[in-house]
Amino acid sequence: MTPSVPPPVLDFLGRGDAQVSKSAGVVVLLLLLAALTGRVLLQSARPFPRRDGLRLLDVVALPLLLVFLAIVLERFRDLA
Amino acid sequence: MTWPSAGPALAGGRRGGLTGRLRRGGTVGSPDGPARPDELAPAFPPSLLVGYLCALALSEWLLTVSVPAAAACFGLLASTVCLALPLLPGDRDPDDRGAALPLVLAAVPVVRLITVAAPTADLAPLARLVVLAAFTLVAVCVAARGSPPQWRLLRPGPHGWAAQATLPLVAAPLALLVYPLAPPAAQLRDTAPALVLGVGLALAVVPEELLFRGLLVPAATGVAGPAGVPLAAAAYAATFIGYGSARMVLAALVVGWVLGWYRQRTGSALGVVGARVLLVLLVYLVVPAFWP
Repeated sequence: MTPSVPPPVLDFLGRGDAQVSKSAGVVVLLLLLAALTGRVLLQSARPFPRRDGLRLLDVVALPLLLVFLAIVLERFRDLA
Repeated sequence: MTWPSAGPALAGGRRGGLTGRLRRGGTVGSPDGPARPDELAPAFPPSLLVGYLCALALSEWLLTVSVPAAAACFGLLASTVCLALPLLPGDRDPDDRGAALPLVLAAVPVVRLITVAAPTADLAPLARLVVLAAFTLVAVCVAARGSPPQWRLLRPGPHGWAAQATLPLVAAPLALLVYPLAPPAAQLRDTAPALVLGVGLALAVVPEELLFRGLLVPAATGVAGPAGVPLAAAAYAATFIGYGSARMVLAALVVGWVLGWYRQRTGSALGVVGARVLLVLLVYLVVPAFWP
């Protein structure tokens, strides 16, 4: 299959950064916060944290953290 | 070209099939004899995999209705996989293929969410794909850390380098099938020199291939047996529902099924990654020059 971004997403991206940040960006932030909170709670679990649970939350949190940082940098660039 | 199945190697050697996927606390068999069928419980019931597939397809369809709603559904799906983890067995034998399935199931909606939410509005189409691929690669690398070593993402399988080197040849007939069903995206054509386009496309498809064939196929096969390959292909095809073209979904299903089958038979993702890269290069750069 040929790689590309679905047309509805392209239309959505074309509406402007503010619109994107207010909708999809909020989902990213909420999911990121939930994953990080879950990870902290899991790390404090006794008698020992589940390694597969920590890995699972890492799969969710790490890419979203990078995307969130990219969104923040993008917003700073727009403000500059 | 066919290879003998790499099933035993991928199955984790000593324990494959249902008996290798017992809930913690269950028994493989008492000293008095083998386990009764009612003692066996799959770590991740295949019905859950089908339900996950339906939820993924619904989220992808929502892209055609409302992108923010689809993003919320992707987030919800990833959260559901995380919340379902306590219902699954705990830390298991690393040889167990089902152990890594939740990681892959969580990575797919996260990657789809990134496609919507990453700040790529100002980027050129090719650069956008490469940036999205970089984020996807992060998710794949984290998920791959929890996968059994015998999945062999970037190492040749039990059949050696020769099998992996010849596998990309399967891209030629696939390209002739894919081109009429799913022609190259107009947003990418003629946007860059052929060399730049080729390198960019190759970089863009590698993480996706590692996710859907490298990780999802063995994980799904570990849970659902022979049905794992079509299930993984269906998950891959579902990510094309947002394009609003049934022919594109069909092409993705065929490509996912064929490459998934080869990935399972050869025991390594290396060859199918090469096949996918060659497929994209053929569809974008070679076939259009000869197609009437």
